[in-house]
Amino acid sequence: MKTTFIFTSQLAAAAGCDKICFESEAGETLLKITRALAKNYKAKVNDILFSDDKFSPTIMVVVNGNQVLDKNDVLLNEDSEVMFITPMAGG
Amino acid sequence: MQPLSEEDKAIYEWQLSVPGFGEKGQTILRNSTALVSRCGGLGGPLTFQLAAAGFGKLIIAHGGNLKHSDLNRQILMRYDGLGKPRTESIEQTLKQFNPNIEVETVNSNINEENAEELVRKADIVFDAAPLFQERFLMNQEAVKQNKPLIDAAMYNMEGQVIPIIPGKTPCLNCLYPEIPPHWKRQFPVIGALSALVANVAALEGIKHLTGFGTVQYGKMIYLNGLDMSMTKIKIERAKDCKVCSHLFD
Repeated sequence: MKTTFIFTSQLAAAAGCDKICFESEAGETLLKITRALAKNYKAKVNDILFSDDKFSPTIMVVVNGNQVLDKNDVLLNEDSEVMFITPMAGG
Repeated sequence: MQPLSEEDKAIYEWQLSVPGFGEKGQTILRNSTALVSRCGGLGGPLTFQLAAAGFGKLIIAHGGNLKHSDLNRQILMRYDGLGKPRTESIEQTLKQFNPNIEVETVNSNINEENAEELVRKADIVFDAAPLFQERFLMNQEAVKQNKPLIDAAMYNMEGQVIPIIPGKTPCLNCLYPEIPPHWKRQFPVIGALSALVANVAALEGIKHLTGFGTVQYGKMIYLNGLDMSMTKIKIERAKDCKVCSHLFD
């Protein structure tokens, strides 16, 4: 199953890219797929994304344009687009 | 409501002809007070637009003295204000630009002591603060006092604007329930990007107050200056939100 991931702000900076396509088995949760994806990146990416084996409370997960509240349990359809939004502020 | 003066009509002539806005919208702005938390790279151009649009009163909270590193984006500041309180530059610039609006500056950032009073004096709140402690305080106070809050934020070449209407939309705490551990006070920014985000925030606030156009309630407006894309993301309220969940019971 193909999923497009979009990284924003601090996550994009840590990952060194803002978009990637990733292949995974169908029927896996987004959390499990993201854990597999994150193995390809530095520890900082994992630190931003996860907390205690779950998504960090401050990571906003958007699937196909809509925020997902049950981010730790959500299942994806083929060709989903997942956007991880890390918090920003003024400056 | 105080009617528009002849000078008001002359100054705002070009926007009085905006369909749906008109003299009614201008009169609402003339009689409105906006609070802006921090007037830096984001809050500066935002405040400038509110002044240009003709808000009756602007309250601006921003502590500290002006530094060289502020000058790439904080467009209300003045070079000769270096080393002096930022509020001095802000007040001078705004008064020279539009002496017909009332400007109240607070030489302090939003904090536990001043948040309640400052929000109480405003009809609408714009949050452009860099620290989440301030942002959460503004959000909490806006929800408590049932005041609209336009939350504006940015990082590098990206930005986001969230119109928050207590009891109607998710609040900031719904999206980010705790202080993000990885957020750092200093981050990459080009002034034109912060101004872009600021202008979107100013427009959403003006539309909300005057009731024209379509405000993106319940959505995050996500801007990416690298490819000039704008995405509207439907956001959800958290049922266990410590700040606003009681409004939905």
